[in-house]
Amino acid sequence: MSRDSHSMTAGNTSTPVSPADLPPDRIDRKSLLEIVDQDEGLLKQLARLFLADKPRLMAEIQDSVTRGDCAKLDGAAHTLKGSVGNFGARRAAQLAARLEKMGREKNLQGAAEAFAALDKEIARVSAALAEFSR
Amino acid sequence: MKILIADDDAVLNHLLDRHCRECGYETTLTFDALQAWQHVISDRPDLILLDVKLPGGTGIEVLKRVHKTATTAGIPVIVITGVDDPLVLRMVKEQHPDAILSKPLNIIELDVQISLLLASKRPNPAGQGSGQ
Repeated sequence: MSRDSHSMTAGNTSTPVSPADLPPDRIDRKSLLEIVDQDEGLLKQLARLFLADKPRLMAEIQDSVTRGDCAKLDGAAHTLKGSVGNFGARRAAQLAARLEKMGREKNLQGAAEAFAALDKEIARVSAALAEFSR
Repeated sequence: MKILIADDDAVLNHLLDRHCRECGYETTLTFDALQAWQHVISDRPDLILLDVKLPGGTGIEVLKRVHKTATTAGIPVIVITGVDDPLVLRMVKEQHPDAILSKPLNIIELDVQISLLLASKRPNPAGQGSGQ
């Protein structure tokens, strides 16, 4: 865990930035190792934890969008936002934050498109993290 | 010294667990509100790191219970949250947690808060205290 950056996570998801304004997340070994204080074993564990938890969260988000379950969407998108934010994946975190906001405000207009964008970004992040989980 | 960690984010839970153990604390990890409350009662931790949005309830409800229960009322609670909804944040503040930290966590800030809140619980150095 990095003490240089004074932060456990690199992505500040609270900044009101549109996901479209952010470039695709670049998950590289150097920045990930900074987060875990150069501890490769810890990085491997964290990547595995994320990859194990991600399918459940994505399924919950998709299901809640399909069923129009705003409370469930709010909760699952919030958890995913925090989880992916741990790896400094700002765009993915902002896309999750957008769905969280839709759930919180009980307005699911555009939620299916938002989910598709999140799914695409999470796939990119997951592929990168899979490299570090081996 | 025992720290209870309650957060449904497995990655952050693991990071907090690792960091707290490296700092010499015992830890218990919980992932939902009910589990957190059960461990508050059974383990009587010296400090709680509590997320706001938890499955099966909320951190706010756990915090209320901690404060209202005589045997747990003295346990310091640090709320850790990624919530930016002002209404929710106001509800958290109304429960008077000992500290509120935002995600992404500032590790130095976390360490300072833990040290401050646990300082009164540490045994006094030999010859300088009651010998407890």
